[in-house]
Amino acid sequence: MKILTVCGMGFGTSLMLKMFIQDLLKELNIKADTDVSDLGSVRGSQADLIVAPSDMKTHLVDLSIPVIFIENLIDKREIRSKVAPVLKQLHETAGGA
Amino acid sequence: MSAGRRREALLHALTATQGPMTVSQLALLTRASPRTVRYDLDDLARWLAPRGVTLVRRPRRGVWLEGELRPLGKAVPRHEAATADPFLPSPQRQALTAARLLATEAALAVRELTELLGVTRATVYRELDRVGARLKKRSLALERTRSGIRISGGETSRRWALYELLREWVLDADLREESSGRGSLDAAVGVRLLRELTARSAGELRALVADAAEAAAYPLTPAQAVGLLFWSAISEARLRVGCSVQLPERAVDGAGELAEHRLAVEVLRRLGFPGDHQEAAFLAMTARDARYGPSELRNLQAGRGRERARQAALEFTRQAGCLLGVRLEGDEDLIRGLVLHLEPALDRLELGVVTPNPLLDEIKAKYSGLFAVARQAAESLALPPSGLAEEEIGYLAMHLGAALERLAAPGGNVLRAVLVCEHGVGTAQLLASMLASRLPELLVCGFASSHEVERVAAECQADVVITTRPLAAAPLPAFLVHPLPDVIELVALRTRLQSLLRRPRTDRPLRTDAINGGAAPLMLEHVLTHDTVALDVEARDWQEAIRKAGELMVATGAVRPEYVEGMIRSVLTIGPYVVVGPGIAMPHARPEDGAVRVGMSCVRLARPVVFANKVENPVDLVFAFAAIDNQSHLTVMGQLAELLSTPPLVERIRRAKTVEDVLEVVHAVSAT
Repeated sequence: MKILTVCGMGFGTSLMLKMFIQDLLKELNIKADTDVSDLGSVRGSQADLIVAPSDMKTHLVDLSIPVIFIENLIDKREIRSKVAPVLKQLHETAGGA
Repeated sequence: MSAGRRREALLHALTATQGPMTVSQLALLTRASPRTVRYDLDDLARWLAPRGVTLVRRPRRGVWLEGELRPLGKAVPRHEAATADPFLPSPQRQALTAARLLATEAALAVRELTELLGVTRATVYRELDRVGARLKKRSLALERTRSGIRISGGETSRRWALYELLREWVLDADLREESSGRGSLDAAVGVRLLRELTARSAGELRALVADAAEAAAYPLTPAQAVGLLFWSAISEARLRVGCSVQLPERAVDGAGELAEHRLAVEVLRRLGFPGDHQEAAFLAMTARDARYGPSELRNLQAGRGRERARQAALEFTRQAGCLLGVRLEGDEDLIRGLVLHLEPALDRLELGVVTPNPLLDEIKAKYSGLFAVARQAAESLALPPSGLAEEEIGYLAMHLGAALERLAAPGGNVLRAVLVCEHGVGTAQLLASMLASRLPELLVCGFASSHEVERVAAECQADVVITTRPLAAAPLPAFLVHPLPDVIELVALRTRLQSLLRRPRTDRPLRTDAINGGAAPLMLEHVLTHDTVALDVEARDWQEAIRKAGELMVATGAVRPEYVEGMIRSVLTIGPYVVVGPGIAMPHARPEDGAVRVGMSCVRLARPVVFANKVENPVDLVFAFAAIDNQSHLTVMGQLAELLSTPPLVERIRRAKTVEDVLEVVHAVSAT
């Protein structure tokens, strides 16, 4: 499983998001790769899930990969409540296959 | 006969005959050795030049005077010439002594040395001990026999020792024609060293090398032109006394295949020693070795021949890392060093020759563990069955040692150094490795030749210059070291460097590149300091808020002024998510927009401003930051994320009365 976090440049906000998600994965005891991407190269990337700031909604509407949008990028509760269920689901699907 | 008397006699002889006299005639006349006479003629020429008289010297014809001789009259330059003879400091005297001993085969009487140097026998004896200690590193021994002093040891060792001396003391200026008159003391030593080896001037040698290269249709690099000039002088000196190198048959055959072989043959023919296969093979290999100077050291990526070496270096690094239980792959300094060493080493392996490693015994004794690891890692490389020689493995072990020191070095307290070492790639790298492994407070961040120090030092933001030859002018504190410094020298250097470290350095307080090598990480408290935190700053709009935050990073040298505009541009182009949470904005630009190092600033605004049309979420806390790649700011960002996602900590910043209060919060997350 691979999770991609996205921001405009790929080393600021996306990096913070990635760290929060790594913490979350640890907490849920799920193993997954995490990586950051900038907006320009996200389309060529392979991933099972994308997490991005909600301000990017207009740029990321037509992707085939599921995208979770975060309003408050420093709110761990929002990130957990939106991302954790999807992570669990992806994990189960992967485990069942 | 004293130096003054000799010059007097020489001038009388030359003015009296007005025709060419050979050096050996003049030597008989003054009862000095031909070499001493050559020095005297140098000094005489310097004395005569401003008086309108030229002392002409032509090989095979002799010496004569040209110009108006009458005004000279009987005013012999006795006093002036005697004082014009520069009184050389001890290191220069030792260099001359070593050169004379290395060039000749016969034993040298101490009297000849006292004549040469103008010092007492006691001084000569004292300095001979130090010369001997140096030569020992090149596996050469100083012998005192009844007839005088001589050097014993292998011919190739002897020649490398001579090359090292020339590289150390002959300055670029000595190699230019126009400097033949006066010059600094060191310039004088350089000219005299060359004179020990050959009767040709530097200009003549340079022309000879260029001519040979043209005949061989060989494109000389600038570094090679100088290197070959030295090697030619050395070959001439040694062949003149009948001493030729002895190489294994395989090496001679292998060298015959080198592009440099024809060049070597042409040079030898012009020197007057054609047809010696061993000699041509040796000269071809040394010419090949001299291709790369300090400028080329920096441009590693170029060149097709490097690929094999790079693959070997990467594999060696991986294997050694596994054996040592550390991760070394990210250490570009290590890989670069290994590539530079492995490229010629793989050449040598194919040719079946071994370059002496003067430190091999010491490495095996003191770093036996590292040596074993290097050997094992080298064995895993796909190389011909004979494998790398111990001498080469010794070098690789030094590079590993340096890499381990870099891993252990504390992050904040390192001096960046530019290394000026023009002794060829092997020696420069060896010296860099020695410095790195023995002086962990030093990071060699660049190589330069003496004329480009200033530029390179600025480019890599160096704090000091370490040089193997005296520099006319250095932009930074400069330290002179021997290319193969001994322990005492290194201890002395370390003491001097540490005194520099104790000085506060406000302009560039942080070193961030160690993080890429895996050393102690940069923390939030390193970037958010008294200088980068400001409270209740006035700003009319978001652009002004970014400028105020940016100015703090400019003032501390983390970014250049254009970076600030870059941050504003980013918000305009990539949108409002610069506001990461309630009241908090994190503006930043791309590393290439003018970031110098990882940096951050924290500005609390007196009144909130609206960022990028996010009217529902005005900003009062601005955390601007700069990254230089996607690695080195990881810890800093992690700690900032921790801070921002912990509401009570953010609240403490909002309610802070002083900058100190903010820094307390920063310390709290840095400690976790």
